[in-house]
Amino acid sequence: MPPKDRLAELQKGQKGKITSLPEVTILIREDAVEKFLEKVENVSQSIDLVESKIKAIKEIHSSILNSHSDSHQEKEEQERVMKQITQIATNIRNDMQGLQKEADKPGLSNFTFRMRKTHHSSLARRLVNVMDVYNTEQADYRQKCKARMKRQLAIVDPDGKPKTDEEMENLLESKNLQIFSQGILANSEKAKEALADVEARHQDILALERNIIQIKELFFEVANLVDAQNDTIDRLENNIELGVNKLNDAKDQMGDALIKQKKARKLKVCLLITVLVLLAILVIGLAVQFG
Amino acid sequence: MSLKLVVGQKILTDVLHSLKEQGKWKVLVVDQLAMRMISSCVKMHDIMNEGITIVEDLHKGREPLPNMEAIYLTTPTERSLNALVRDFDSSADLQYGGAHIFFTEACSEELFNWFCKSISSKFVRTLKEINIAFLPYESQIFSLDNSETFQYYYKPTKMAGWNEMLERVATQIVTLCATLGEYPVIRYRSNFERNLELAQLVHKKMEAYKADDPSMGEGLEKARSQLIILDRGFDSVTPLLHELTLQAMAYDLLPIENDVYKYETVNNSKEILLDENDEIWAQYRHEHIAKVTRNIADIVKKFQADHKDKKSTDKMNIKDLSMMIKQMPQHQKEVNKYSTHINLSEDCMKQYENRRIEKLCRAEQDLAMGETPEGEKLTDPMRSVVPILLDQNYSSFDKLRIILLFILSKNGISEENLNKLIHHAQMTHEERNIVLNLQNLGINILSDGGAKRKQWTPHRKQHITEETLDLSRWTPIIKDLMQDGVEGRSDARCLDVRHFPFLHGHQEYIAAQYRAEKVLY
Repeated sequence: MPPKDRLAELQKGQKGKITSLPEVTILIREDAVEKFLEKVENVSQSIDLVESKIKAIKEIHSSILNSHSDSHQEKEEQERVMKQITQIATNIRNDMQGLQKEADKPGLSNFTFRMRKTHHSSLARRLVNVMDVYNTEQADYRQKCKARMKRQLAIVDPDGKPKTDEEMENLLESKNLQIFSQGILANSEKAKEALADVEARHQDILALERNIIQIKELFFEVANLVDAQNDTIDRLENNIELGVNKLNDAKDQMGDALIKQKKARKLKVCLLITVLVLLAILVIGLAVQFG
Repeated sequence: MSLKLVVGQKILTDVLHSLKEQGKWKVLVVDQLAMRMISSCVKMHDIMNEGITIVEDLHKGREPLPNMEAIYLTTPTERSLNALVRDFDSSADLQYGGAHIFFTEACSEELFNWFCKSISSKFVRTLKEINIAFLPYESQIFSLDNSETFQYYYKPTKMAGWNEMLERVATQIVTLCATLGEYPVIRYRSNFERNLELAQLVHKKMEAYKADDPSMGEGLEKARSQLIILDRGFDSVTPLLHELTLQAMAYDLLPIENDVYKYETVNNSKEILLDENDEIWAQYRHEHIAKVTRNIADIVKKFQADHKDKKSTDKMNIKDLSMMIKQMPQHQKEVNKYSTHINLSEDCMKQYENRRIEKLCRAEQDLAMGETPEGEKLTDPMRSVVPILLDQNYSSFDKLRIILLFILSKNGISEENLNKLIHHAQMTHEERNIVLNLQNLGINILSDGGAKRKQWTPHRKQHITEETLDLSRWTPIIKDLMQDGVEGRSDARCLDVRHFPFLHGHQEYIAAQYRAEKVLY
């Protein structure tokens, strides 16, 4: 059932009752809230950007895997986009640290604390999800490259045993590109092509891993952004209560202060009465003596 | 599709997304019901993604944000509308720049007209009724989140406010039907008189909704829907038993509050939300604890084995490192999940042993089933009860449960016998009252004096198989009722038409199905 719109009914009900809209002057405050939200917006847009870059990487990967010839252009493009992602992600990380600092500042009001904390945790969650996608894509690509190398090697060396997964991994590990041609006589044109392809794939994987090492710290940090507390912050009920303890403490202190104030007032009244009584006695005494 | 998903999507699209504007943040203001509603099916980060910068409680002190607009999601009550009007009644001191109002259900004409005339209504940019006034508690469970109802429904002396309460409950149930697009036939348990009154009210309200949206309940599937109104008295045995499936056991034995499970690890304490987003919880919550413990141990072993392989080579090379990093976030999440569930099931088992629940279970199951695990009829049920009552180690709450089960198995006992039991268990006067008050659910507690109410004993299906564990022989009656309901046979023996009549006759139900079929072919 779609929501029932009753705005028109409301406006009809208003007719004739209120003639003009009350004059409203809104003070636009150039305040901390606006500034903080602007930063949040920026980070959010950067995450959008990373998302679109990951999409681009996916396309490049599938195009590399589908082409037979070794296109330098695509490789360069891939390298470039990966670098961009690393760069943007590093910036986001720095911005996030800034936001975190602002959220953890001591002495914030409940409202400000809750707002900042929640924005930070939502962004962190999004970022982690996006980076997860990136991870999966890279692992996927590596897997596909490997499978293709295996197929090509079978063409190069039709008599050799099919390589086991472990042998493949060992081959991938070595940085020596010549390893594939050793002991294999590429005697046909087709085999030569295949060998070239294997070497190209191998280079791909090495490049991929260089990139991963570069951003490994980033991955660690991003993963740590979503801490254990996050589950409860992410639940509205707990979120609304967030920082209330802080507020209650403040209220308790207020209560204490009020009690103290009352006590002090009582004491004052007592003193005043005593002084008055003494004075009265004195006056009466004097009056009796001199009267 | 899961109820949670349906409601969550409705709130996100109909309420939040429809108002999302790039670069314009809004405030979401909720009352108690709306807060619990959203909380049960939408996550904070989803809300923030729709351009909400903070969620606030309508009835608490709020920060004025005059350059932002606010989205209100509240029940259309006088209290909520008053608070809303106050936000805009002084133009010098506006709370927000404008109001987008969403009522959980239809607003009464009286309140609506009053609101129209208030000066604050000029600030209203949106006004809609979403007709969702219940919590989608689990994928197939809803709650009206109204704990007071219990008192109204069963306490004979609590009459003031009864009508309002019943209206409210009926409205909430009808919003559930509207959300699901259902227009079900209504059945009720006739042994408890008040059910009929509620059934009639629900029907009346549903008619009104159907007039607004004639597509409610159309289609062959929907023509078969039944709404069955039950009171607690239909099965008082199940809630008294110590159940050994994970969810029931954990909520019974551990201090789980508001679905948050807390536990201590070596260096800190953790708070974990037990809900359906947790796959292990979703998969195992209805499994027997023995199975849960075994299966989780298996999963963890497999997980460890999978990850050992990768580290078996001493030298960490590029490949290992990169794989490790890639798996890092996933890995961390999984490790946390496993440790939570290992802790949870261990905690359950610890309580089970420390509080010697096994002995309780044995007696409870015998009483509930009326026979021993070997299938022999229980000739002297007192013999299973007394040792527990005399045992100083059992809490009076556990003793209360076993006394009640004993009384239920006997369909009421004499006052003299009750006093003896209370004496053995060394119970207080208040605890004795708890036992007696259960009469208000329509159960026979005392067999002497007062008219004994006729009890309905359902015809049970056979649930015991080779695999049934001795301590889990009992099957809740609701299961049989639902199976009968799904099968839809007119000679059902548990969901019997004589005890669960149709509000408008069985014939009407059959005719409606016939009509739906005709439309289809």
